[in-house]
Amino acid sequence: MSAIIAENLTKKFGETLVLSKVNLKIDLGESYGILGPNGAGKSTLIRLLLGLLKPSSGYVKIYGLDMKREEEKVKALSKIGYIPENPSFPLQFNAFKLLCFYGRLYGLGESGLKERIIEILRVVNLKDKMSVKIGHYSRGMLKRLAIAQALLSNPEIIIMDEPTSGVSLDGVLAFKKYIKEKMNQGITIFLSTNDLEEASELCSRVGILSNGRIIGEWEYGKSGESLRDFYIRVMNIEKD
Amino acid sequence: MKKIKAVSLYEMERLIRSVRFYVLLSYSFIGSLISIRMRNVMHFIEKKYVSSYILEGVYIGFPIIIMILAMDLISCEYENRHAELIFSKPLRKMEFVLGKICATIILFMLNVALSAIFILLYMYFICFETQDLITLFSTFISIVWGSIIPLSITVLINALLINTVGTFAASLIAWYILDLAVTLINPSNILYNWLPNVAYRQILADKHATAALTPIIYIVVACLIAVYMLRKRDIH
Repeated sequence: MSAIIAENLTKKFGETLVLSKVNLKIDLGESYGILGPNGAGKSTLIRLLLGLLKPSSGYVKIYGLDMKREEEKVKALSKIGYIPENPSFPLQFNAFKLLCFYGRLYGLGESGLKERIIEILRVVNLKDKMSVKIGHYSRGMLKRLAIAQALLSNPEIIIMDEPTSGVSLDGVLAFKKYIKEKMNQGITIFLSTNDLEEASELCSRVGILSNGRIIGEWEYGKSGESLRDFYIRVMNIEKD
Repeated sequence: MKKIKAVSLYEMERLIRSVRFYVLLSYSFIGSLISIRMRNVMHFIEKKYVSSYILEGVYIGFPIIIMILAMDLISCEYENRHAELIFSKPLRKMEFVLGKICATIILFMLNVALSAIFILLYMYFICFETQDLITLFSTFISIVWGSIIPLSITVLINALLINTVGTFAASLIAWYILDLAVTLINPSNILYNWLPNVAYRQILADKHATAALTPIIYIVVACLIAVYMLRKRDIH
């Protein structure tokens, strides 16, 4: 079974076409990346996959569950962890209380929730700051908190929208190490980025998105061509 | 139920940490105090038990209090962009709306209850009677139950507009337009009793038959429309 399927996914905001007939098929345990310049439609694609946006046409299925139907969407989302590009949290909360709330939404039992939160905050190096109000966090710390809330429920699929932008180098290294461990455990990854290095390091397959269309797909070790060369070639063809 | 409880706890925490909640609480205490001091309380004993009279007097504007408490019930999550993370979790829109409504009612109850306790304590030193406790409790229930009607209107408008200031203004205008309308409608009309302004007055006047049913119908309709609107809405 495929973890994520998108068929003819199209999104219009008014008259503006943001995403045009995107097709995706991501297998269980696969790490798939979407690479593209700013404004290519990467974040819109992710929001469509999560059911946050309604597609103008086409559909998304996660584990065969239709994301248009609320009951199926809720089941699918219980298996997904999402790291947004610009996370926004209620600033009057502290990390521990907010993660308690998110954990309860995932249906995590009260008994193990506290231990799980402390464990995950240790991974993102925020354990010492868990009682500090989120309003006092730096941008990098907010990003690490976004990573923590995504990993909280031990998701089977992690959807990430530029997860390491704004994170310090040691944070990036710790995050990549953790993600690689998870990949070895068979977790499915969907990564949106404009960092070539990150995409080639974490993804076995990368789609190049430009002007709302997937204009090429690179697969690790298939043609011998590096992701960088492939990206430059495909983007040059697109420009012409 | 667990997720409704989770959303309720989250909303209560959010409201308790807001200035608005303490302003409303101060209003209740100061209002109670002024109300007690301004009335010659002994004067009213024959007419009605004083404690409930004072509580009713303070909360005569409770539609506005509940509107202030609920004006950003749904919109705050969209305006502050928290909705993106909340709805990327396995949460139904109905659970979200119900959790928020429960939290608002609980905090409103807390607000009224604290005022009632304050009034009762004050009365204890003036002219306390056992009946005071009973009538105060029934007034408390009437106020809380009646508040569900303006709360429903606010929830509905908030889900339609997703705008905090707009919600408060529109709810207030809707409320007073209805107030004006009911004065022009023939009271013998059977629909009259279902108008929000009339219904909440009847609840305060302890007309329990109407009081039991009207708020439930209002909140159910408001919830269903709000959930429908939220399902249609894109989250950016």
